[in-house]
Amino acid sequence: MNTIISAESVGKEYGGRKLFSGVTLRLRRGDSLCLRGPNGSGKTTLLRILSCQLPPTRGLVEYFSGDSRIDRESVFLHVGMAGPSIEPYGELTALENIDFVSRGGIGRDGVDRHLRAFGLFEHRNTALNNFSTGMKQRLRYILATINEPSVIFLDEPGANLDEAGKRMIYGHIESQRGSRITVIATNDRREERLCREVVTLGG
Amino acid sequence: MNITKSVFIAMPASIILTFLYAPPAEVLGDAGRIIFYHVPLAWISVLAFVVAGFYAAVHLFSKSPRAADADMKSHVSATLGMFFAVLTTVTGSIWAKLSWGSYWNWDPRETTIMVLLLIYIAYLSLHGTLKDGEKRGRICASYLLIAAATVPFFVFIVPRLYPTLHPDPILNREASVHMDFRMRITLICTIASFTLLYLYLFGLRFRIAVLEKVRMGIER
Amino acid sequence: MGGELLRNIRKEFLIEFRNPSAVLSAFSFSGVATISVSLVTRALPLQPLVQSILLWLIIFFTAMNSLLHPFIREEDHGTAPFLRLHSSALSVLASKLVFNAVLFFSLQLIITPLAVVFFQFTLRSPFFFLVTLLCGGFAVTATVTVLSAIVARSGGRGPLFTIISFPLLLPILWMSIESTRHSLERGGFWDVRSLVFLLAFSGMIIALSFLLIRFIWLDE
Repeated sequence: MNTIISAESVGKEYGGRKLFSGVTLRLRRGDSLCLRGPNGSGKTTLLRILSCQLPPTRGLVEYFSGDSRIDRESVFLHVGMAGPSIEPYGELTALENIDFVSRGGIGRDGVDRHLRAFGLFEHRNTALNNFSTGMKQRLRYILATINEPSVIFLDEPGANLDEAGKRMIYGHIESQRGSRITVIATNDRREERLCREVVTLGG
Repeated sequence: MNITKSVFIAMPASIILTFLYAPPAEVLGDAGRIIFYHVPLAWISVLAFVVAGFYAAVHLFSKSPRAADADMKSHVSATLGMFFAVLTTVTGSIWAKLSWGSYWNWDPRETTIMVLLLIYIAYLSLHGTLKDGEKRGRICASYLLIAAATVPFFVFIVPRLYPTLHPDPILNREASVHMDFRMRITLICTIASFTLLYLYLFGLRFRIAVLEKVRMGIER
Repeated sequence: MGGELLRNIRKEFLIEFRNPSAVLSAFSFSGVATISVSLVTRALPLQPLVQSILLWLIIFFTAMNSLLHPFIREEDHGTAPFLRLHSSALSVLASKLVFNAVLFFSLQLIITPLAVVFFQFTLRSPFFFLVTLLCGGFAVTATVTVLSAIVARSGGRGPLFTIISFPLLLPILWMSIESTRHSLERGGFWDVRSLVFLLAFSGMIIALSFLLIRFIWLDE
């Protein structure tokens, strides 16, 4: 499926304070974009606006599948997202969280493969409250990609990860980059190099 | 010129009518003149609720740029409505004391105004809890619509549970026969000028709200 | 949509059973409240009206103490953005409604037998009594669930929940108290109108909740 994101002069204000304005983008399959900028420049906010979780103060974000526009309410079916503000259920185990998110596209084997690839297979029946920060971060990435979305938004994907974890996730991002739209908000040089284009906010 | 400014003529004129033109009531004497204040106040409290509900619906469902201030208008109207509902309750209970001998009797209309007052209090508490922003407008508007939807159920249930002491509805065709012609004229005039007063205050409060928002933006 | 709804319902029950402190304290509250009230009233022979009022007040406060949790948990644990990302607002509301309904009927299963025994109810029409409890309980759940979403999203807590719920629950409480009294006073009497009233009220609130939930639940 060929999903296209189109953002037209998008701007956001909070209580009269302008965060950013005039962001115009057009992303299609295979594109990868890095959002860069100092703390408080609105990276996460722009990520949420581009994923249609937050409406912009000005401008328009639209999703297209081929030529037809995707209804705002069903955009979430095409989008995967991981970030520090997206907190899975601590009472549930890794597998239960995946079951909650999964729409069944990749089957039990696919889930196991994902868990193994990110070193969480042994912990699949552990409640998330007993996970370390790094393990949680890896699970967040699995939850974002489990439905094989055509667009993926990542907010600092390498945060709190050890070198091995970073390698797993960066490798996976790179291998999938060609088949989807990838948007990363980060100030990390290595994560920036995963993307073909870079947008700097607040500069 | 703003039409609502005519309130500066209409209100004094109505006040003069209520004291000099209208005759004293049959049983209550001069004390009965409170009706010319109580009835319009009650009407305004209900009108303000309807206006607040209307703007709440506009805020949620209209996409037109003219609807941008609807949540502010809804809140302004609800604040005024709360104020008028308190005055209605006070004037009503004074009247009740004079004619039935006690300040509060839980008759259907007293009950209804009390429920309206509770809804206003609930709405304003909710509004006070939320921080300024788009979310506040939407959540408060949703609550107001849910509250408004329960009102027909009250109209159905309250008279079933509480026996009435109130005089027949004033605008009821039968009841108007019982009322002196001059009293009727006076009442119509006061209702009209109180409505003007509401509209005038509404415009004033709305301008204050807009200016405060602008000032907050500048100070930031 | 169907699969999503089932996943949501399953998740609600799983989470609440993994960490059952909220549910357990709701059950304790309902039991303790019923027994305390009957202790306070001592062995006085209460009239059916008083008995019904006490029963429904206990039910009201139990609702206030137990049904806020599913929505406020999402905000407290910071899981709301995750849920918003993976489910539509409609299935979130529907799943919480199902959970609350199941929880509330279970709570009524505690309250009702205790109340019947300790208040010495004489059930002249037991079946009508049960149907009233079902219809009234459902109306309370439907109303309170959408209001709990409002409270959770506004960052409020229990007191705000009671303030904004009470005026809207009044018609339900009045009607349920009346029907309960009928079932205690007269055998075989069917006051179908009040049941229809309760069901119509629930239907209206549920329809409105589904219409408004996206304004309440989604970020703006």
